[in-house]
Amino acid sequence: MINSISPLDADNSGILVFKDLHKRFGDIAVLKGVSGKLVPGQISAFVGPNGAGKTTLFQLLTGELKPDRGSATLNGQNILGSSPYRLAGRGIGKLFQDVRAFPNLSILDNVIVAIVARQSYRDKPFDFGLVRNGRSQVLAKKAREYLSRVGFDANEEALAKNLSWGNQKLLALARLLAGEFRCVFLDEPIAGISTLMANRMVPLIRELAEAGVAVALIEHEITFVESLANDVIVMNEGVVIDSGSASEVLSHAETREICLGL
Amino acid sequence: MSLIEPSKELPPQAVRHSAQSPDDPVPAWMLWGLLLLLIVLLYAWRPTYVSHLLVMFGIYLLLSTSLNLVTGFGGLMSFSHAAFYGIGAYAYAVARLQAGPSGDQAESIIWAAGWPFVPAILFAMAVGALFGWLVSLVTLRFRGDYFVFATLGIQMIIFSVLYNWVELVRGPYGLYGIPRPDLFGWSLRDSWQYLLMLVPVVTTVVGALWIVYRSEFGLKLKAMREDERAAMSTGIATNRMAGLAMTIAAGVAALAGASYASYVTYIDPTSFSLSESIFLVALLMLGGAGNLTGPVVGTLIMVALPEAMRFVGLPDAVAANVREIIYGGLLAGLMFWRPQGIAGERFVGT
Ligand SMILES: Nc1ncnc2c1ncn2[C@@H]1O[C@H](COP(=O)(O)OP(=O)(O)O)[C@@H](O)[C@H]1O
Ligand SMILES: [Mg+2]
Repeated sequence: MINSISPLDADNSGILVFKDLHKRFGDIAVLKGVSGKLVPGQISAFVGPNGAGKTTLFQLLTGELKPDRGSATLNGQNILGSSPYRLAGRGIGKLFQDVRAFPNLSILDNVIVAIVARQSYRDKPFDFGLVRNGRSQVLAKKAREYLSRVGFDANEEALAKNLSWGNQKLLALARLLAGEFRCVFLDEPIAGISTLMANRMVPLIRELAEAGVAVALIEHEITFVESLANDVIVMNEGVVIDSGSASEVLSHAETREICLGL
Repeated sequence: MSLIEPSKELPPQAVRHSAQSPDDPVPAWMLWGLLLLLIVLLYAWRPTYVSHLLVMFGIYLLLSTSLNLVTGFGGLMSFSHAAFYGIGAYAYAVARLQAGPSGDQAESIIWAAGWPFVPAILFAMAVGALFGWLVSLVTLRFRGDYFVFATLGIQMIIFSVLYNWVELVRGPYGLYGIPRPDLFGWSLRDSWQYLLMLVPVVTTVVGALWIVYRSEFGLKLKAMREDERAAMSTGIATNRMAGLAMTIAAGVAALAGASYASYVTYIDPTSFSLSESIFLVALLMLGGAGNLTGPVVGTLIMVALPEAMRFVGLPDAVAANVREIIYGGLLAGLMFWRPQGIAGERFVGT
């Protein structure tokens, strides 16, 4: 059940480094110089109150927004200014805070999309798959593997929009796994789902890291942060106010207060 | 760490995409088989009226199935499809027309090539596809309502050029005497002979589009329609996909235009106006977008309805208005009770 990562290039560290990121929306400075790094096999938890700029930071690093200032590299190569699909091609994936499963596609198709996208983006920008059957048994079989890895037990033909919120998150996670990314951003994967679902989600996230993926995680619940994270980055009002190993950071009274104070 | 017990409830049933499974109950070959049978039976009898209807059905099938790729699959509501239809018709016409004696219409236009049938058809498709691609470069900067307005604008620009640039294609005077198809020295005279050529063409093209619908490409387009941000995060180059969809759709629309021009032999810009584009979107929404059955059903109804009304025996002037009212009522009722269309997967969002 270990996530098999197919490395894109043989010799790379897989480290994602970002420095001094700034972002304004109109008059509001949302990020005011944020730096950090994501390391393969490690889970880095981003904590802090609502509005701290965590989601915005994830949007910068996944190509959805462009920063006003700062730099970010994956294996030493710039990632800022690339569109999300190019970054996906370079191994960066995301679980959205608002989930975003494809509502009118079946559960199976939701995952097949990610497999199909992964198989055609690398070095084949004009491989559209115009005549390749998008519903082949081979694709379906692969998709079922990802679905069973997350323990999906709904009818695979059900439309995603008819699933519960927790199941949609699980489906989005299966879709993320199908992307075989080497660096993933999980924006509140556990928030708003039942304890049962949360207990499914936690070991899956841990497995991702064990398989060598660099995991960035936004999470409010301090018990999950404690049980999952190697590193913790505490953000508030657009700056990093504390960071370091999980045990160290979480022992700071101030940090606990910010996390628990939510 | 304890892993989740994977569900054993995933049945190894045949893989069917949600889009088609509840909505595509009729196998396509059966549809085509029925159509072919109908044609063979009717050929024995040969009423011109029926063959004319079938020709128009074929042409509109090309238009609706191609628009479906952009609008039903990509979720991009385009109001410029009739423009590509017109470009195909005019490209075919000027490619076919011979430069005649002084005072002849062909002498008064910029370019008349006098090509044979097959090169002219291919030329029309290529020109249509080229325009589709160029238009996609402009319009795909927008999404939603802005995309709709951008395509409206393109439709109006292309129509104005056809209508006002008299030296190009004689504007409102239109082009007449467009040569009918002749293949291997065999010229198609009546509409029944025309059908013999059109049916294989339409069957092939619609069949090919059907393969595209079901392809990985079709699935990527649907993902884009469902949630473009999520689609991009999986690695789909959505603009590139949509651009190709618009290029293919415009090429097929141009083929429909070329077929139309070679069939009626006289064209003027009014056949390719904004109201025709609106009609095509309405037709698709009526039948249902995002699968194959939808456009077939929509086309069938929209082509058959005016004819059915003839039997009611209304005077022509009244009938045209009543027809518009019925179309409008049908659409409004449909949006109310069955927004996904008669045979549809889903109503097309903007
Ligand atoms: N697109 C946007 N336009 C304007 N303000 C935004 C936008 N996105 C986020 N913000 C603002 O930026 C701040 C940080 O938001 P966000 O990054 O979502 O915080 P977090 O994820 O830490 O809760 C908030 O005050 C939010 O209102
Ligand atoms: Mg957030």
